[in-house]
This record gives sequence, structure tokens and C-alpha cells, in this order.
Amino acid sequence: MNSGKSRSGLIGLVAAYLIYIAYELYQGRNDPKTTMTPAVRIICIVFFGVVSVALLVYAYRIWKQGSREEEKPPEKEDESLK
Amino acid sequence: MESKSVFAVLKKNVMLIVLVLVFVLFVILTHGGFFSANTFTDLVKNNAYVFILGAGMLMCMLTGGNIDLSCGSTVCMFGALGAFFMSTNKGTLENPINVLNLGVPLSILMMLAIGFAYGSLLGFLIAYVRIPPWIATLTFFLAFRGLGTALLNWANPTDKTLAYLPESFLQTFYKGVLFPTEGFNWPCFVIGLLAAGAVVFLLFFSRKKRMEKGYSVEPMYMTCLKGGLSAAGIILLMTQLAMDKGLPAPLLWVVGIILIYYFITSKTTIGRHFYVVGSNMEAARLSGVNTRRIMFLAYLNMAILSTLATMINMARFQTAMPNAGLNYEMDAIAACVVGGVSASGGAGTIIGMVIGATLIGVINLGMIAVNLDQHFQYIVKGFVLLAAVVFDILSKKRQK
Repeated sequence: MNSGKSRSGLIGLVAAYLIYIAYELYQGRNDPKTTMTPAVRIICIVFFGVVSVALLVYAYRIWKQGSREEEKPPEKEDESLK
Repeated sequence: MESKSVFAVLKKNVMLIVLVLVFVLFVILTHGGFFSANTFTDLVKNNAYVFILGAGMLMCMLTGGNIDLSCGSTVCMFGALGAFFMSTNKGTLENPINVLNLGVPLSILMMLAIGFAYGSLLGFLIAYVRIPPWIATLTFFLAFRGLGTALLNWANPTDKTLAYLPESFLQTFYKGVLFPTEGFNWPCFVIGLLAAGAVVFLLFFSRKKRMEKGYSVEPMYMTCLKGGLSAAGIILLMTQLAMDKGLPAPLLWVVGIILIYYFITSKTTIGRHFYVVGSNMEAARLSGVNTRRIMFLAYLNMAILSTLATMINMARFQTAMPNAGLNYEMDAIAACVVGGVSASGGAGTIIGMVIGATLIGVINLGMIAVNLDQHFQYIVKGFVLLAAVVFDILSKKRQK
């Protein structure tokens, strides 16, 4: 099977995008045109922050698993089958 | 011969059902205002770049979840180059603008040549030098944004943009309409009827072929339902477009690209190789598939499609600017992920990507139509992407 490192990169990218969204929400806190209440804004920032950290941890675990699989030696042939 | 259950068929088409439901939701929220000719035209014209970049990103992701982070910055850089080649505005004596004014055909050829060269370099670095794709493409993501901005600053220090693109270029890639007429565009409507007929015919023909070969098929009523809904959708789209001038040029480019990549991914050996490499690269290599060549082709293909997306983007905004292509790579990746392309590679279809891109386009347009606060729009986009990733993670866990 493929090591799954690429998959970890994609999940990491999505996590980074969620952090970017949390950052944009934080940046827009003083926007006079916004209809978002401060409470909703804080909840969303915290939610996206927590979820992105969770995704980053998950992506790291997949990456470590992929690295371990790549380092594993190939299986030996069963001599009795010869 | 086993018949697929209704539940299995519904599960397979869940994104299409979600798309229809989201569309209906926005029609209700806007009291029918969302269901207009303008909406359909805007959906097609403003999201053409997503479909084109999505097709390229699909081929990259099929090879093992690999992505191209540079496509948005490529749009900026190649847009700056293209405008530098073809812009007709030399400015004034006080504020000169440095452009070459080479004409449209030569400029397009040069842009394609540069795209080909860039794609070859990127493909070589990833496939043969073995640089991880995200590092190689991240490098160009940063470099091209800087280079594109620098070129625009040099070419037009006053404005930092390049406009006055030739009308023929704008017509070819954005403003043009196929068979323009006054009033209701009957050629567009007739093309829609023919396309609907062709899709229904192909659905039933494909089902018949699968039955003859002993493969499992969905129930007949499900095929009729799918055919009916597809035909209705196509006729609805074409009727709305016919009411608003006709078939826009971006739609022709998008349909052409989708048909080509549908053919490549489902009917050609090399298309199957992309899936095989993504499923298990080592097994593919041992089976005689040239895996490095497949990786090379994936990124070369992406660069060429990025060049096409650049042209459509330039024609849409009628200018080249430093923030062109911002976040385009995320739009393309989101279209693929939402459309069911697997993050680990080996699974995903062009139709799935089209549905994903359409869903994102409908959500974007719908949020603007209901005057949703821009910050709420960010939240909705975040949730859509998060739902797609969670779905992918759960599918992977279920497979194990």
C-alpha cells in the first residue's frame, strides 16, 4: 500500500485552512459591517482552532505510521512454498 | 447478475442529492430569486477556473493524494506574463507601461510553452528528483506570487496591474457566446436537448453493456430516474442560459475539458494507470507501470490546465493583478475532496469533482444571494471542507 504520507499532507493543509479561517474571523472582530455577535465569533474561533489542532495531530500520526511502513523490511518468502 | 440495492445507489450519489437540496434551500431562502438565468450564467462563468483546476488536481490526487499548491500563484504569474505579452496599453510619456503587444495568437502560444516548460520542470523535480510534491509546489506557490507581483510592478509602476487586453482574447475566453442571437437563444436550447438525449442514451447503453458482460447493475427504475433527472438538469441549465444570451465561452472550455478527462480516466489505459499508481504504487511498478512517468504527467498536466485557467481568469477580470488566483488551489482541492476524490489516492471521478465544484459554487453564490455576512461565509466554507475530510477519514477507517 502507499505510505499515506500524501494523505497526511492533505489533512494538514485542511487544518491550516481552518486556522486561516479562525484568523480571518479574529481579524474581522472590529468590522463595523458585521452582523456576527462576539459570542458566536469566539465560539467559532475556538471551534476551528481546536478542530485544526486535532487534524494536525491526526495528520502527524498518519505521517509517522507511513514512515514506519516505509522503513519496514520487505516480507521474506515462505521457503516451504518453493 | 446481482442488482444493486436502492440504498447503495443513493449512497453512491449522496453528493448529487446534497447539491440538489442545497440549491432548493437557496431558492426557498431567496423566494425564487436564486432560480434565475443570471444565477446559472454566473455559476458557470465565475467558477470555470474551479472546474479546470479541479480536473488537474484530480489527476494529481489520484496518484496518491498528491496536490499542487502552486496553481493559484501560477494564475498570478502566468497572468502577469500573458498581459505583458498581449496588452495594448503602452501608457503615457509621464507614466509609461512596459508591454510587448505581440498579438493574441503568439501570446497564447508563448503562455502555453511557458506552462509546458514549468510543468516539465515541476514533474521532473517530483517524479525523478523525488522532492515531495508539497515542498516542490510550495516553493513555486511562494516564488510565483512574488515574481508575478514583481513583474507587474516593473511593467506598470503606477497601477501595478496590466489591462487593455485585446477584445478577441476576451471574447474567446470569457465574453463570447456560441451562436449569439437576439431574445431567446434557440441554438443553445436545441444543443441542450441534444445533450440531454445523448446523456440518457449513454446511461441506458452503458447499463445494457454491463448486463451483457455480467456486471452488477442498478435497478431499471433507478436508471430511468437518473436519466430523467440528468436530462431535466441539462435542459433546465440550457434553458436558463438561452434566456441569458446563450452558451458562454467559459462553459464550452469547461465542457471540453470535462469530456476529455472523462474519456482519459475511464476509457484509456493511461487513465487507469493513474488509479493503479494511487492505489498501490509498488504493485503498479512491479506490474510494469512506469510510475515516475505517471507522476511527471500528472504535474505537467496540472501546469497546462493552470495556464488555461489563467487565460479564462484574465479574460474574466480583463486585467492581470498581483492578487489574481488567491486561494484558487484551495478551491480546486475542496472541489476534489467534496466530490469524493480520496485523500490517499486511487479513487475519484471527474463527475464527482464536477459535482463538488458545482456544490461549492452554489454555496458561494447562494450565500451572496441571501446577503450572508462575509464572516458567516467563512464559517460555512470551513464546515463544508471539514465535513468532506471527516467523511474521508471515516471511509478510510471503515475500509480497514
